[in-house]
Amino acid sequence: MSNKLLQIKNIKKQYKQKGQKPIDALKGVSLDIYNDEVITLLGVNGAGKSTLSSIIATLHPATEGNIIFDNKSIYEDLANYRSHLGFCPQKPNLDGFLTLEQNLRFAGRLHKMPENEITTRLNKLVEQFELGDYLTRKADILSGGYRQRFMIARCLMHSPKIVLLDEPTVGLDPHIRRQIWAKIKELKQEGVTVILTTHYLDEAEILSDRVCILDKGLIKLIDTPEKLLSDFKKKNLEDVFLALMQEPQENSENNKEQL
Amino acid sequence: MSRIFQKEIAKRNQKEIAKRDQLDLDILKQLIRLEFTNAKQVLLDKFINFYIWAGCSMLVSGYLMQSFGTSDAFGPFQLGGIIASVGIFELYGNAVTFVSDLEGDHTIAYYLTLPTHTSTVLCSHIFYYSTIGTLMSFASLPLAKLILWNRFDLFAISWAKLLFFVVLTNVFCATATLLASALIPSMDKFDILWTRVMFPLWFLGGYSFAWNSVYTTSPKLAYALLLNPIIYMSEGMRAALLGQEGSINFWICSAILLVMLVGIAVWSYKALKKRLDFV
Repeated sequence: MSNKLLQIKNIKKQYKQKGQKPIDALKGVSLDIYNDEVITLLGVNGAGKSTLSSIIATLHPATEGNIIFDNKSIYEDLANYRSHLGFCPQKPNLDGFLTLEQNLRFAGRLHKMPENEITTRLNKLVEQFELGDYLTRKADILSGGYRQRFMIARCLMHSPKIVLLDEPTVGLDPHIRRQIWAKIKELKQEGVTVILTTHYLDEAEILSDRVCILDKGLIKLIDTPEKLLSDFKKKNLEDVFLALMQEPQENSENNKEQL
Repeated sequence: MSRIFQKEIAKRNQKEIAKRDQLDLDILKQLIRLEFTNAKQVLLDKFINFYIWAGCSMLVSGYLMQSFGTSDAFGPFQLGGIIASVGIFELYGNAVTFVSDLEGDHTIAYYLTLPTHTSTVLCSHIFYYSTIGTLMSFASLPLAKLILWNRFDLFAISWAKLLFFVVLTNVFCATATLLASALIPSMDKFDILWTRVMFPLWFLGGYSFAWNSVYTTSPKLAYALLLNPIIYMSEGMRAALLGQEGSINFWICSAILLVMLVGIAVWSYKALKKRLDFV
């Protein structure tokens, strides 16, 4: 395995609500993420996948713990970390009033890219994600599949080292899902580290170098899909996942890296 | 030797910080550019809407109210209230847009992951809201001249004071927009903001009366009204527009509004941090 890119150290997240018991969404998650890998965060609803990805994306702060990037805490130099990060949230948050081209140009400008570089990158992404027909249209009119492709293209505009994709294929038809899978594979080939959050186990099995299974705010297991299939003697990741979810909490592999 | 070395490091750190701040200004500039690119779609409607309510208000106060015994000067007097109110009406509309985004597309999430401090994103909102408010405020002057004609003397205006105060009131309202957006839990609670908070503050904020006239009638009520920031907005605006006579001192209004602005800014930041849970 290549070098560590991100070190997630004992991340805890607690949500407090007035007059109610605090909710521990993450109870101390530690995980190393390596260069050029696709790592998938799996878990049932409420397991803490989206919370963890939003903390890695610096959308929300952790209650406790740290994330190390470039040998220092990301919170010490947030701007530097964010300039290497592309975040594609589950909900498309595009500027609907703007055209696709304007959205992409602003994404570049907001990451301090020079105009000539923006044009080159924009053309490349438009070709790669087959968005040419819609470039001068407003983002509001895009169908689900195109919107998702465009969301990924936008988060790649500034050529980030790390890309966080939060359920990128949710609600899409099988044809579009496979197109998105192909794009994710291309990203890996280009040397981008992808942190993927998904409910689809087939997707995780096909795309991931490693899967990280979260349960009730803790890491239950981290391993390669192949190793999990052989260890659990199952045919697919879905069976492994179901078997794991039936195990009691004590068996959790919390904070233990297997690779 | 080590002293020189430390000095060198401190110098380099300062340069780094200055460089980073400069980069933040670049992002701020682009965020503002983005806001105005988006605004093109709604700007015309905003100005039409404003001209309708400002024009109606000037017609009523300048001409129709005279049958109830008001003087010729009531039209220009009301104009002061109208200009002071631009930011308040903008606050309502902008807060609706902000909260509907939080409940809907959540585009703010994209901006909160940009390589800059969150305050850059919030500053871009304040800049945009206050610039639109300032432009609308000044756009009311030709309309006022047209409607009120020789009752409204453009030469009586202290232009420097007016510019300063219009910007100040609109920055205040823009900052308060962020606070309102942070405190309103959902879209269906917006009528509570308007009916229970904004309307009493606005209507008792000197929109169509002078603080001195309240003091003559009820000093206790007049002192209570001094807690309302909109009183200073209306009084200061009239002082700049029509002259100091009959209004609270312009510089006192400005100073108090500035202090309140700092308080609102801190409160807005904390309230938004609590609501959005940003880093």
